[in-house]
Amino acid sequence: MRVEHWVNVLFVTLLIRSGIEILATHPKLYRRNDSRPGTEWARFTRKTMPTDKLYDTLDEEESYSSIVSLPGHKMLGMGRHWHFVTVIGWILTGVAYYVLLFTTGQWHRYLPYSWSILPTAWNDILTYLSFRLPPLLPGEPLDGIQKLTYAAVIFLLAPFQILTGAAQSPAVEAHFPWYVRLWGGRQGARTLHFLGLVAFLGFIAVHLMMIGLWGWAQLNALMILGAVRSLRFAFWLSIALIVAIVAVHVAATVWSLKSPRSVQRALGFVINRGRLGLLRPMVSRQHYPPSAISPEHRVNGKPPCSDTYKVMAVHNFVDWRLEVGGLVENPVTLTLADLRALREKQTQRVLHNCVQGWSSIGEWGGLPMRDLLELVKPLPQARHLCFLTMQDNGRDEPSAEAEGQFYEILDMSLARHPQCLLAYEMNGAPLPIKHGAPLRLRIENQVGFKMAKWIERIEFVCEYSGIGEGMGGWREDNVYYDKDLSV
Amino acid sequence: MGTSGSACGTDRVDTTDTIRPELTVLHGAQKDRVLQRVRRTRPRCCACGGEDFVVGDALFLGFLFLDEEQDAYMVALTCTNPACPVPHSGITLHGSAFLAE
Repeated sequence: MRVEHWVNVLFVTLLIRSGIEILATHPKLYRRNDSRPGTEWARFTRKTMPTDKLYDTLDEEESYSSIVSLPGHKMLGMGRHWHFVTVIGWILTGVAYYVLLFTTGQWHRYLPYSWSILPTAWNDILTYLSFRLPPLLPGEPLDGIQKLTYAAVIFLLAPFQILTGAAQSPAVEAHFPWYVRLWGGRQGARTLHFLGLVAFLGFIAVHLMMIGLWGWAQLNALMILGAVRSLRFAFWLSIALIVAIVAVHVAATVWSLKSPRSVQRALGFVINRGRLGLLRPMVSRQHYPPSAISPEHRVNGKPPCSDTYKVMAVHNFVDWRLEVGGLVENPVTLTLADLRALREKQTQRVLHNCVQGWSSIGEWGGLPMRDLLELVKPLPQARHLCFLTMQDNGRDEPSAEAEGQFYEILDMSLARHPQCLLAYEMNGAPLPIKHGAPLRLRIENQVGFKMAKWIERIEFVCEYSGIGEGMGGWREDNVYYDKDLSV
Repeated sequence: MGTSGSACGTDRVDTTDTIRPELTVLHGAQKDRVLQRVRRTRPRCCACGGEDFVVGDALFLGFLFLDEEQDAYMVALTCTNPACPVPHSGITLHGSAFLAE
């Protein structure tokens, strides 16, 4: 348990810094699921958005310093990798800690079992406010407020952060819509997760202050070595441990900034095992009521600035064609009218989760991907679908920090989900240009960027190692996002 | 593409879909003004050389597209030559050039 304390320090600080990196990508907090611009209750940015030109949430992203965020400098992909790999380690450490806590009887130290601790804790607070140290509880190493605080952090705050974090997973939200409602919706969970972060920061500050007041060397001797033998040794050992933790942070930051691809591969290897096993089976079962539809659905991505696209748009996309080919028995080229005629449209009212943290609820109408699969008959070796779009990020999306045609890879298993949809309608009207007209993908247990917009071709492939950089999509290839985006 | 430019599209297909909300339906006088501009800036179809166009709807480009001026619209043009391989095209105009009464 003494070792676990320092492992916990490492994990919690990594979680805080990587969490701030994730917050930086959309530095605004909302109460309602629609994340409507101007309704944020907290903002950590001074950027103002134009009213006369379409902007998207990439334009709202902030670049924070590496001192506060891991790795800093607008690297959400890296921040997510560190956050998720650390949370796996943190949960495992926490489980081991709980087991040890209850098998060794140490829980008596932290878990109060008498209401009398409340007035004692209040008196302790008053004593601290008068710049004196309160007495310890009889026969215990902590005073009343300390015991109460540790209990709150160990048994409430830590599980709270895990639960509110899980409530932000698109797969969890899609499969258990009631669970996200439990936290006041997607933005409610995000807000509570942020307040949990603030609580952790407050705890750490007061915890360090308390150790300083009660005797840094002595308490570290007891905590690290179990006994007070040499205060000098205990002091320097604690400093050495802190330096080691800082060194890990520096190494993680430098590694992420200098070699993000290797971080993506190494951490992604660990994270994806858990994600595919735990979250992939979660199929979307969302049916929000019409009253839940966001009055203004946020936008991510800008329409293709090509003459070809504009001409198609002004002619209501009658000249647009969807080519479906690759490893299929029956390659097809479809017009929008063909898509509509294939079967009665399927509609779904669902929560859209952006990788940046904002959300909106919309009703999407279109052709279930399963019907397209039935039409084109994928060959047995086809394992993924590559969605090629008309968007060129170098031309259309200055905030994207990379160039080239946008594409995304989807696993065949996801394409068979009942709410995997090729959407040509939104909220009962033709799919708006800013949301991907004439056709976009909806896959409701993944984050938003996976849902390619302005689609022009779908290619069935057996592997994607030869597409782009081989990481599974434009964002995976260029900004080091993770491919399986169920969280 | 700046204003008063033009662009050609692909082959002919009937419109069967609902008109999308981004499009502005033009009335007679507005269409006439567009045709006058077409005759001045691009009198011939770039696909078949035809000289007659039908003016369709207008799409406000200024808000949606990064590369467009604030007041830019694209107006749909359809070449009336039945043999034209690429009948659909468009012309980019300032709104003030054809919307004003």
